[in-house]
Amino acid sequence: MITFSRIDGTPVYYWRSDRGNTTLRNWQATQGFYDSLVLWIRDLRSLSSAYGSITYLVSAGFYVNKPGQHGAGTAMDLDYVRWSGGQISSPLDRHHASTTLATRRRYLAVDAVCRRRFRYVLDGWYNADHADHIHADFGGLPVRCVKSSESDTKFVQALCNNFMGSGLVVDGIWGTNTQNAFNTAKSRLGITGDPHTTTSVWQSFLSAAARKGFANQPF
Amino acid sequence: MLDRRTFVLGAAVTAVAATSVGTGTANASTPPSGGIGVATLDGVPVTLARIDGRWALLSDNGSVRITAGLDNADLVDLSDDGTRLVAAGSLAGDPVAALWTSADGVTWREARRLHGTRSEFTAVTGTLALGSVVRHERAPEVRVAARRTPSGWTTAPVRGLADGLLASALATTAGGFVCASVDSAGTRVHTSADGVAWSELPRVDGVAVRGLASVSGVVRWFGNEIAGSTPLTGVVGGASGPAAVPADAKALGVTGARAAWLSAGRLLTTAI
Repeated sequence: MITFSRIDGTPVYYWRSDRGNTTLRNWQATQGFYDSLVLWIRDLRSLSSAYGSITYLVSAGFYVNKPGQHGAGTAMDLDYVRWSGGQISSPLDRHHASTTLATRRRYLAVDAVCRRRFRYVLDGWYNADHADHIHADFGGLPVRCVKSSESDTKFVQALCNNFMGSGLVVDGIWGTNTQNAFNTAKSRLGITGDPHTTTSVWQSFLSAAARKGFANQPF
Repeated sequence: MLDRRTFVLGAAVTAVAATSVGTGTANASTPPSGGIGVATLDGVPVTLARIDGRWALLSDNGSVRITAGLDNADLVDLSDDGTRLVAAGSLAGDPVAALWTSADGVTWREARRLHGTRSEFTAVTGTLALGSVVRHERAPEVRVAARRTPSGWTTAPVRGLADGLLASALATTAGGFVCASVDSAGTRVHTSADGVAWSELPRVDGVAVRGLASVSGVVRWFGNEIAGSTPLTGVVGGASGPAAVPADAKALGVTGARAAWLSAGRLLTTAI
């Protein structure tokens, strides 16, 4: 287990007990998980570069003394992202359910970037326990889009609804309507190959979706 | 007393020692990792931790004994009923909630597994285990419980505990049971007279609680800060502060009148 206060130079704060607090915290995670966090934030910087640099992150925990991936030091709960251009994405404030489309798209963009590096990403559509943060962990790797995964399916359904107006029920069941919408999304984003079996194809899909989300553009 | 299954780790827990154990050789060049729960065996606090991929019994006198019968176990908690140890967790792989028991802490046998797949027990006492049916991504979905009866461990109903909660500590009190569940902001604490109907006590914000004890009519907790992992202790609904243990200590639980911590690979206990 290693201790860190910043991910690749970007400070990570804790707001659950004191919103706005900028005291640096001594977070812990395994070296392997921290290395993935570095790749993740570099993805995030690159894909959201139009917003400027990432000023800070806010987390609800990495290693946490409880059963599961948090207890193993291989999980992150993401509460908030702030860019130097003033933009924010706040899972903490339930931005997945915002009445503003651009805010939901930005949340989905951050969500998509998490999925590039972490297989189990649990967001506000997944269940009520994740309405106020995005959870990402080392379970189930390598990354790919799994139709039997409730998390992956709800993400795809929410993505298609918010970027293409697909009108899907976000129920986590990969049926014909979800498949058709996903095929359309892949085509419009210029993705070829099988994101269900090939990590690089799924990562390309997620990058393309994230770019659209940060730009608030439909596809 | 040392035997063929026992070796004592050095002060830094990095001493290299090896001994013949069962069909293989155990090597203590790697510090124990991830202690789970705490129990009392022959009057001595003990925990289970992984060493080189195998479960080992650690005691607070520094001894380490490699176990048998836990090769397929993903363990999460440990307790005792006064005569036997009981370990809770799941069968490895697609998880199936299971319980194991042992009279000596070294030789274990599976005592109960739930039907179906994707479930795990996460907290146990000598007579009650709490866990969840979990989703594909291991998020808790439906609360499950098992009670020890004269004929063995049997599933039992639970009311008043939200299905999405992950039990992280469970203790027997004079009035029944008390349970902790860690969420994204801290710990929710519930109490029950019968282990079936639960009611909520004040929450413990910012802390992951792993040990509970009823002392003089109040519930004392032991855990680690969520942001920073600082070892902390306090009273549910009352004051809290640093625990008198090293800064790296991770709370394991409570056994008898002792709170247990894992620090630098060693089991430490403090008076509650």
